[in-house]
Amino acid sequence: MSHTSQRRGVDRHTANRELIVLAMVPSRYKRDWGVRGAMRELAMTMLKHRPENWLSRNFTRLKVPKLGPAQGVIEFIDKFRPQATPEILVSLAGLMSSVMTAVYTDRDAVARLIAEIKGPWLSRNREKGYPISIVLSGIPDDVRACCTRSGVREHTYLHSIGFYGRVAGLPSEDELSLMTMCGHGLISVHRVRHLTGLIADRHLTPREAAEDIARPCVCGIVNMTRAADIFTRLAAGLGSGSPLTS
Amino acid sequence: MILDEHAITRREAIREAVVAMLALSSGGALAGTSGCSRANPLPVKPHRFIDPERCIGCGRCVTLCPMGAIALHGKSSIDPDACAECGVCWRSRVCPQDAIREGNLAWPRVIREIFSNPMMGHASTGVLGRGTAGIKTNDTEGRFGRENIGVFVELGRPALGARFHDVEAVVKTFKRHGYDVISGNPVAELIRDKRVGSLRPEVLNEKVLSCLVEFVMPRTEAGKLQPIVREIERNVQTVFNVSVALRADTDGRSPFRHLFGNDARLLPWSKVNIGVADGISGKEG
Repeated sequence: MSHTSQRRGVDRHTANRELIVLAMVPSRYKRDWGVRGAMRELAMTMLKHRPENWLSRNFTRLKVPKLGPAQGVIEFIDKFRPQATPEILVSLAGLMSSVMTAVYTDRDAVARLIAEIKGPWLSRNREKGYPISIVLSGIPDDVRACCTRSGVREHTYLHSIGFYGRVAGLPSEDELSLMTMCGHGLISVHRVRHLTGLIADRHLTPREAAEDIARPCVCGIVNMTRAADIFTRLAAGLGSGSPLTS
Repeated sequence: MILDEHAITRREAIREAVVAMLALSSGGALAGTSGCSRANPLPVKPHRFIDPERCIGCGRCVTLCPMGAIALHGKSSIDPDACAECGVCWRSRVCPQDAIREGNLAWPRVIREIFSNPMMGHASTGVLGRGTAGIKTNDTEGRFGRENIGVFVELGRPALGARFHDVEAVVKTFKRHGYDVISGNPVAELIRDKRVGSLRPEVLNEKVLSCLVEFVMPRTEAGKLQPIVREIERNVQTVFNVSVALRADTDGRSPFRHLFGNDARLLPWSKVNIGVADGISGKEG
């Protein structure tokens, strides 16, 4: 599936600004409690290396029917002990999902994460037969650097060869850079334009706008730092003064 | 985030308890299965809608819709033809009156939600999303070897959405060149006539945020891909993107340029399975 492969606004000039780490176990294993435990441990390791964003981060702010009564419990904890919420959410995602995702803005952190993954966690998985795959999305130089530094070798590539068809109907390149941060296409161009206007009118900071567009993305792969930079650029083109700084 | 190193034992204990409680109460939760629990006990329309009795016309929902299907004329309303049933408006909690309602979706309308709402799973794949696991588990499942190429055509993303008559155009074009949609891709279940690649007629006008169609071709036929893409361009009314899955060379390098040439278009961003699960002999789950 293409998911993170269509990101725009990233090239060798934006090196070391964005890397997405995805872990996945084939769906037939997802009900195995041993695999779930391994996924949760991985999720906590991913959180430890300080991602910018991660799967389930938005679940206190969205309606997630499949959580059932658990959603109320999470929101209760978030209200009274918000510092505990990230660990609970990421642990829940690791435990219950066959996929775990996180976006990083520092390739050194990703290299350290991969090196840690290669340690006891992977040894236990090999011993127990838990085939949890790891996928990196990024510009080739960043991916190569992470692989080289952590001693792993690229196994399979997914390359995008671009957009075709009715491309004349697409939004501007900067707007596309924001919209393609969600691999499911859940970021609306109308929202992007509305938020840009609010920034230009100094009613919103670029960071607040970035947080806003990150919310619909249930996978948690919007890079809010890069998004804020793009919003700043977009608003500067619209507004009379410089935008608020975050 | 703040990681309190000094209280890790107590916090670990709390976390274990909470997670266990959540796991028990949420059942399948994030893992995804077909079907979706409904928050509204009495849906009254066959599509998502905004309850006019509750809507106060604040317009907060209007810009959220990726398809631009919500309009404000005194009160907000959803154009059911333009709506892809992605659920962004409802999930967002943006409505202060809780006026956004899920409809009672029946076949074929329900296909919009299945393809557009990432919180829904496809029965055919067992995972959330629009396609198979693709390269993500290739180090375990070996879909793509050094003799073949995975081809992924995604219609509708970004911004425009896609109707299934466009999806059918893609399936038929590949079929004419000798390639079938791979089994496990949700579109394969919608094909009525496998000889020509036509889809079930009742789904053709259904609109989705995006739809991913997957094929496999031998590496020796890599040169056929660009002409096929150009042919599809002439036959679809929306935008589409194309990706190729390639097993790395033995030194870890991508064989893309070797297969497609130095002039072939390639976005400066790639997705790479780094092979940590390679060789793990998984037990059946």
